[in-house]
Amino acid sequence: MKQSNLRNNTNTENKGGNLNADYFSSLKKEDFSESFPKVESWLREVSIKNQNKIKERNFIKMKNYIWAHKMRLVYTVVVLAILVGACSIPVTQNEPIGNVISWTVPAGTSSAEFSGIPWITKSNLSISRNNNNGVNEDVYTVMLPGSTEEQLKNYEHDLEKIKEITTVKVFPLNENVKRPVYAAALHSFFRININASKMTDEELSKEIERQLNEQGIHPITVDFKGDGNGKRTLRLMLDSTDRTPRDFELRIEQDGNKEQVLKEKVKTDGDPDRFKGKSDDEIKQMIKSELDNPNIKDNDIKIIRDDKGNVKVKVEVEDKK
Amino acid sequence: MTSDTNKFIELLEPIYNDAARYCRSLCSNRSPDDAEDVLQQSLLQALEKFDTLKDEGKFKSWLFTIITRVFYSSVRRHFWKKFLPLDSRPGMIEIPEIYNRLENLDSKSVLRAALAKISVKERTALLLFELAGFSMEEIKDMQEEKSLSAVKSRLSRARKKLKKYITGAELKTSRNTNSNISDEIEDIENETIKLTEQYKYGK
Repeated sequence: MKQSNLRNNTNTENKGGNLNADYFSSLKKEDFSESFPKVESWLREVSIKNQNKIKERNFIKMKNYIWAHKMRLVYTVVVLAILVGACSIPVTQNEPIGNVISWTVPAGTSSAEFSGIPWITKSNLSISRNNNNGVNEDVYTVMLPGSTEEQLKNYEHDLEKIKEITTVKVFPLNENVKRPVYAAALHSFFRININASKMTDEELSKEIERQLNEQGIHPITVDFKGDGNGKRTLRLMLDSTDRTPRDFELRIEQDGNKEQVLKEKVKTDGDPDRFKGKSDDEIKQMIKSELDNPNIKDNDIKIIRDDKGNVKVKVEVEDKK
Repeated sequence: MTSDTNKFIELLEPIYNDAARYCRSLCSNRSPDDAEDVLQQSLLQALEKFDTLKDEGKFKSWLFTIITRVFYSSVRRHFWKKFLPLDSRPGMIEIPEIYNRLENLDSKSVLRAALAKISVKERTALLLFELAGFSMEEIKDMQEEKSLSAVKSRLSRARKKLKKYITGAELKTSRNTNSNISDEIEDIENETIKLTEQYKYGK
């Protein structure tokens, strides 16, 4: 309101004096709207040209950037080439391929004693005679490639039943394998491949547990849960007293060629006694900070306390790709 | 062509006439070419910065602020043009002709001549108020003033000066007109005497 009064006052003042309001009204009457279509087409033309200019400018910017940072780019390429080269250098890894069971019997003992054992065949059995402090003894050796710890225990148990056997020894069978650095790094992963077609969750859990057992990982529980939207979550409870840090990759092939890849990182907790006297929240906090994985939720950390006050912590972490 | 350009044109259309008038009046003491140059630069800048406009409702004051700033820089540029060759941007498509090159001597011209005599800031404030219809508060923001009283006193000064210059111009015109009439009467008298003598003696 105040503004409009001022404007009126101005006109009144102008009319009263020589400065006539008609001067401004004559300016206001000027009409340039006829030129708008020309200006409009000019603006459109300029706009198209500007768009092209922006593209050109970006290209020039990129060119200038490359030119200005050419040395840095050269270093980067060289470093990458060195890295690729370094990764291709072959390294020797000592890899277990199985086990050898060796047992000793007094010389002259008949091998018929072992013929009933199914895992001993003529093809994998070798016999040698040794003289041990003047006493002759026969040493039987069986090579068992790909045998698991559990199998070995059973084999040992089979041999212990035979009275003639004086000693039983188990040796790991290793071989040196040469492979590039990157392959060696990848080899440190455990890979579990499962074709889950026509498998129920329960069957799949059992299959995972079986394969993990074969790899020397003894999960306490393997739990497979579906959310109803086709997404299934794998929860593993692993033995925290196993101090060997390891990573493993689990590939599960679903129906309709759909593949779900779960990558599990397992870290052991070091000293199992360090959780003694700590509350659940404190333990969870410790685990979270140690594993440094944002996907870990409180529910993923299971704390088991026994009567003696020992604390076992199981962590199941899941990363989906 | 982007949708931004279409939107810009759509918003420009209703206020285009005001903007063109404002540019011409700002460049009162200069040629129509200069006014077109100010309008061209302002529209280009506005089109370039259109994506920074947050409230479309403020398009008019935003555009007029740009025009005012472009005008200020054109005044500085005009000064340096006397010493340095400052050509327009090479490769730029020039804005089409908007203003009439053959303006008659009328009240508009008297006002323009008077406007040309007041300072740039006073002229801008007065035109924004009288011609474009902005409020003092808006002019304060557009001219980046801290207080409203600064704008008020600027407007008051501008009006007084304008009144003085227009009055002077009107007086001068009236004197010229009177002097012309006297000359014409004298010529008629001389001619009458001449014809009377010719009639008297010639015969």
